Amino acid sequence: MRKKTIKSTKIFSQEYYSIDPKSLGQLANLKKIIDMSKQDSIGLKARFFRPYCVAYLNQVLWTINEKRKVKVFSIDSNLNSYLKQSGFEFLSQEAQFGELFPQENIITIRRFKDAKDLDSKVIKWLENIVYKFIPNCSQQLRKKIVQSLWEILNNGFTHGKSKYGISSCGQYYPKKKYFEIAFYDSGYGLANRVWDYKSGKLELLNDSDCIEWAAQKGNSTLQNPDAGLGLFLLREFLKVNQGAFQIIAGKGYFGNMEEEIDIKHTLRNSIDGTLVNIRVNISENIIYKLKGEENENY
Amino acid sequence: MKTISVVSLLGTTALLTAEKGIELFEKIIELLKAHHESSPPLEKFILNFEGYEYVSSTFMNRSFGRLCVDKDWTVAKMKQHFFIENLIEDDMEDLELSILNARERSKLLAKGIDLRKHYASVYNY
Repeated sequence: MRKKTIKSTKIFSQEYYSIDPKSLGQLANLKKIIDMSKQDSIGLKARFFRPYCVAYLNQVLWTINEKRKVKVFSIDSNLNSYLKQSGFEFLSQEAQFGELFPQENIITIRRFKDAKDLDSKVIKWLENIVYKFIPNCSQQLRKKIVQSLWEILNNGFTHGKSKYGISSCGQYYPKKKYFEIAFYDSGYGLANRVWDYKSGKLELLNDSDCIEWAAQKGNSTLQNPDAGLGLFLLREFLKVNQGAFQIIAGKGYFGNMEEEIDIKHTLRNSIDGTLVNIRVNISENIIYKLKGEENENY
Repeated sequence: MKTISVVSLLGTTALLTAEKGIELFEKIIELLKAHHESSPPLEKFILNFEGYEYVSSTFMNRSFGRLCVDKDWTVAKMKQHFFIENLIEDDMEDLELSILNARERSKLLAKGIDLRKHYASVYNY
């Protein structure tokens, strides 16, 4: 009988996870592999993670660790350092560490466990942690950003109802002049909510159509008339900002990136819950003000 | 003229949650009732937003959106009943949008139109 000596499993998946549909499909597959593996420490052949990967994996491991103890590490020591610096909660003891990243550029993982006192928790987090990454712009516009991020979290709790709350993680890219922040909940999923709401009476064809529907002005799965603006206003803000957003739920991917507007894709593998990633442009070349601030100089 | 500080009333400068929106809605209803029942009629009151830091669409929906649906008011009609002060122009636009949006959805419901069927297409504007 062959003795089982392998303590960890090397998983050969792609090395660079960007925010494109292919990377997202691979990330969803990674979850499946970790779930099915019997190892308690799993090595990933990954060299680069964007913050959404960290938020996603952290929460995925919360759900898996409820059944059995498992942690991960990367074969790349620099990525392990990044995970540690991000506050990733499931880093294996097998992780070896390399170069440290500038800590001031990392928006560490924050898990919002429930919606109790959400407004004060979110404000405190945004003001103390995220605020410093906000674009060089007016005070009023900074408020708009804070309000937008709150909408994402509030939506997550209202619609997602994940047992593990919402995980967030972000990164500031000083050379590229933007910051990204991602929110993930492993709850019911935005696309599923829309499917349920529509009960088949619709012209939507797939999960990405559902996400696109949810992001239109006036659309909401809530029955009351006073609803349906949160995601729309977020999109409008990011348009003006020349930023970007991606919303992923199930196999649906909807978002914009650089010059591509409102792109939709169907992922190869499904993601449980909802992942929202936003990129806020902070380039000095973009100077913009809210209405009412036209005469003020910054 | 009576002035109500929204920040003091709600005990927060962060006007974000649905609960706070509903609280403001209920206060406005109370003030309107007092206005109409008094003899002689009271002057219009002022909702003063001075000191607020953040406001969300959720808050606007549950306060002003709901108010105008219940009363069947347009934005212009609402402004005949009370003043709003110290809300920045951008947030005032969002307030008006929340009213327009709520009224549109409400009208569809009143006509017996299934919102799911009406908004069946992805592109509804």
